[in-house]
Amino acid sequence: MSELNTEAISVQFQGLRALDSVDLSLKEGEILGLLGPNGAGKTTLVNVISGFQRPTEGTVRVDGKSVGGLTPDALARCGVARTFQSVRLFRRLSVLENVEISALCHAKSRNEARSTARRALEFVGLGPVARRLAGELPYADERRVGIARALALRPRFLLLDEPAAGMTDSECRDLVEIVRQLPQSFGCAVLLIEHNIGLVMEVCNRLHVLNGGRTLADGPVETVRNNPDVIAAYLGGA
Amino acid sequence: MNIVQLLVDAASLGSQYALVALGIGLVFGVMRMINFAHGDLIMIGAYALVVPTAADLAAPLIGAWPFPLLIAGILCVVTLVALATERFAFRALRKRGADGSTLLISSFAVSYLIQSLVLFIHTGRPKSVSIFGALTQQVTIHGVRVGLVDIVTIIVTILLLLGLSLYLRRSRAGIEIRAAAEDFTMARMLGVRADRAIALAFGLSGILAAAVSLLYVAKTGVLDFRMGVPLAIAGFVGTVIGGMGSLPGAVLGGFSLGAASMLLQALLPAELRPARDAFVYGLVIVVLLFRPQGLFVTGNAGERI
Repeated sequence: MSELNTEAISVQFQGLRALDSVDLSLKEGEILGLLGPNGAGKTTLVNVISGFQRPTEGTVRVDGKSVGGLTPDALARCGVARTFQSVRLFRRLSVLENVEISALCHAKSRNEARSTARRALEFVGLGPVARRLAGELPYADERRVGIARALALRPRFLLLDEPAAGMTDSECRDLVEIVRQLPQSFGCAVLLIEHNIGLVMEVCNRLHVLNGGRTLADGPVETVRNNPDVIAAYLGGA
Repeated sequence: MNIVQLLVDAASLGSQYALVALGIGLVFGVMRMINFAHGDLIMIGAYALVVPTAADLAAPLIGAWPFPLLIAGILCVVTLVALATERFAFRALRKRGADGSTLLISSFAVSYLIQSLVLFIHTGRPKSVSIFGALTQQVTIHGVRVGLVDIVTIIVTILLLLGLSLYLRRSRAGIEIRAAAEDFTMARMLGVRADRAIALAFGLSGILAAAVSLLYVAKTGVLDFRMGVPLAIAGFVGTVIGGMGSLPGAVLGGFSLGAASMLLQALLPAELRPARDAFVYGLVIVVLLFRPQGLFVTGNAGERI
């Protein structure tokens, strides 16, 4: 069974300790919610896992093997993919080409990449707009292209950084369905960073809560939800 | 001067500048660096036609080969030099996280290095080559006499642009370069191999530079170790007025610049013609005042975080 782990990850930005000895695990087939108030270190942790931020201490392991020091592109080839809060599509490329780019990573030919890309786009419900320029898409659709683009990398571990930010309620419901099907349809574990508590409770199997750079709680949704520390630090204050 | 002749001349110089601007634009796209040595790649290609010697008379070297071999030979020389500059002058700097201005300085160093080497081998005296004698004649089309070399320049440019655009659209490497040109960091995050995309952009810019070498020598018949400098500047200005980071913009910007120079050359009163470049670059400033993002970049292509 494949697994992604962080072991005692700490990140120090000058005077600020953004992460302090965080252990997180993400197992095959699960959807793990990463929660925490603003500044808790969620995005920093995702940056470390995806190779954008070097940890001051600690290691990241994929299936027990250290992937510390790998660049983001090498990590993507190891099966760790992520989306970004700012989606940053290639606006002058078509929607399909945007997804093809990442599909090329594992594909033997342009045709193979194209069909992987089509499948990912159909999955997020954007099949009909594949030929349009990415710059013309509405905001919510851009975010879905972002997910398709990460999926086309055929990740075993998919990190979704606030995918619902700025979405309407009905767009959020569509998103819930998409995220829920990810482990089944693409065989990847999902790490979901999200402010929308309702969404997190609905799709996640397990929660990992950060506060001030430390792990506050980690466990099944029901347990964490009723944890008094979590209520005090996060849910209560929200 | 006949209006058709004038338009052909304008399109010919415009084509030449468009090829230079596209070569510079391709590299800028993947590296955010203006490669001022691009003009010297063109110069290298031109000098490769003749035997390297300090003698005044330039005996043909690659220039004596049969035509298809000659073209292939110049393409190889220039592309290899382009790849070598990438490998030895820029890659190491890039790996150490050098920013655009450091790379720019490095490109100046490469430019002067190439110029000094050619100066050392060939001396600084311009040499004349008449390798493409057949192209220097005039042809008459519907009663209008135009230079054959200008027609060839325009046709070659159109073919190169079509070929390159097909390549960038259809091939696996092409889509990677286009994505990298728009957002290099993001392209890397999605698994595009930076070294390969950059080397490829340099290779393609080398092919374009080689084409300009041949077209330039065919037109002027003169070799000068500084011949690349004004071309590089024209190409750079072309990419700026076209809109940095946009490949079609580079082509159109370069073309506009060349065409405008040629038109001003013909239309300015005789006593003002020596100051032609002042008018051309004055126009460039006016253009940039009104369209700082470039002429051919659409409004919403800007950065959005």
